Amino acid sequence: MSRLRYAFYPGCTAHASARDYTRSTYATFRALGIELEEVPGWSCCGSTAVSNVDPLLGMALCARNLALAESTGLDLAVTCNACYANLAPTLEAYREERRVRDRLQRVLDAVDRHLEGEVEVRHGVHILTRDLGLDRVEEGVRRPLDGVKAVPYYGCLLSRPRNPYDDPENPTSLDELLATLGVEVLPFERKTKCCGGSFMNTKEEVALRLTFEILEEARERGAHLIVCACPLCQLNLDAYRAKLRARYGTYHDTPVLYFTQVVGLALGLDRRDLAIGQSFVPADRVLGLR
Amino acid sequence: MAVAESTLTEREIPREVLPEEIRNRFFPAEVEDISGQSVWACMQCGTCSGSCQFAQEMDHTPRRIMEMVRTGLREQVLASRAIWYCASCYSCTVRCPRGIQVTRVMMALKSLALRAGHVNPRDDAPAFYESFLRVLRLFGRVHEPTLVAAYALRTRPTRVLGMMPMALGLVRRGRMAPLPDRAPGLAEVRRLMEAVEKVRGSESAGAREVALRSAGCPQAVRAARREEVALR
Ligand code: SF4
Ligand code: SF4
Repeated sequence: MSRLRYAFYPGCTAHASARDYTRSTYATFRALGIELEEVPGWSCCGSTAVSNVDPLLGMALCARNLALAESTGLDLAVTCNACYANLAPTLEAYREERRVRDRLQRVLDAVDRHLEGEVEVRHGVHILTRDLGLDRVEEGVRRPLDGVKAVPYYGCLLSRPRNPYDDPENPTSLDELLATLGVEVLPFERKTKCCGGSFMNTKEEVALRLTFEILEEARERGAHLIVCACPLCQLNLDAYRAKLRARYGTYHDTPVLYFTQVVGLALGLDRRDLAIGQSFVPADRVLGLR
Repeated sequence: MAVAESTLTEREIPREVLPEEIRNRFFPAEVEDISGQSVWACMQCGTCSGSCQFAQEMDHTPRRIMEMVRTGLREQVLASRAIWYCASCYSCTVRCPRGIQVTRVMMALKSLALRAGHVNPRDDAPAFYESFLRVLRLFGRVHEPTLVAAYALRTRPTRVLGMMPMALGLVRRGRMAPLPDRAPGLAEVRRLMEAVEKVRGSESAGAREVALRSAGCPQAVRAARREEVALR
């Protein structure tokens, strides 16, 4: 089988702060025979922030990054849900809404870029579950994670506004991936509920409440681990535990890992290559690494 | 549900040339143009409100906002708290039985509110988004510590103190780049940002004239034409 190759768009957060995510993505994908080549000259996609103050600019930033990716001749791999939910819908609008296409073409002309609309945007989760396939993942498993109970947290933007494989409100890709590794995947009602992360700086009380509800459900279900697929989700669920304790009196010690780290562990990769240990809540205990 | 090719534009119609009544009349078209969504398709079922985790914080629920847009209650909608409590979670969008991407309508409203200077001063979200744009223009990529600092300085500088433990935690864990990193294509990103303004501007002027003429407002048509000429 031919090797899979993608143009990789890390996005600002995974590039600058969530380096553990980027590092584990490269390590795990390489171990599975998937090549990632960083998109040359990529810029911020605008995140939801730009779409909210200037929707046309938000789409224009995405269109430029899509054009850069398209010119490599490879499909685009994305691991941040916020980038994914920006890039993929922009591409869809570019293909389907004439008015959007006209405007974006004029903007791209001004910077000498061209977007045909043939590139595909793939989230890392679907690269493993669909492009590579669960069978191939399973073949690579050296240290099955038997006995680990986990809840998958998709957040808002992996399955919404849409992805080609998942129900927007009850996605299962990540569930399937984890089950392949031997993980006991628990039902999780809040798997796609908003954690309020985008309000952590502006409306903290609202954001903390939603984050608390998610962590609380994970605890009640008996999860050892929360698995996510986005640097923003990870940070929000991981980094505010002390504040949450101060506010609600409960301390949640459930660690939050990236799917790339969990897959990598099952493949038998070294924990340093997976950058495990860079999260606020340590994951060592549950994974029996010590 | 997408709208047909549109008439109006993303730029706010200038207050001085357009009587409020007419601006209100064109509010739905303006929102449709930016969002690409047809507000007239809404059947007021309330599914969006029922799906919104933030509805309880809003002064008007998403369903009500849709109706207020159609009614042309421009000022009330743009000055509402509700739009800034939308977290862009897309829950409403995936459930709307009429296929309206309510999230995109909310985005359009926020952008219009900023342009019109209608922002509730007690809400920090607009300052956060604007700081984001500023950092983007500086570096082409977003460096979170710079963003958070810029935002704190704009709103409440003492915030920085509250953020220190978190920042140190991130640094200690090797999860924060101390310095911003420029996108290799920064000059191009800036040109792109200028091009967006131009595309918006040229469309505004032409489309506005059509809209104003049909509203029977000759002074406004003349003013729009002058502006169009000035833009060339
Ligand atoms: S869910 Fe759709 S149709 Fe129903 S009220 Fe909301 S926008 Fe209107
Ligand atoms: S996208 Fe906005 S309005 Fe819609 S459900 Fe989410 S927060 Fe509510």
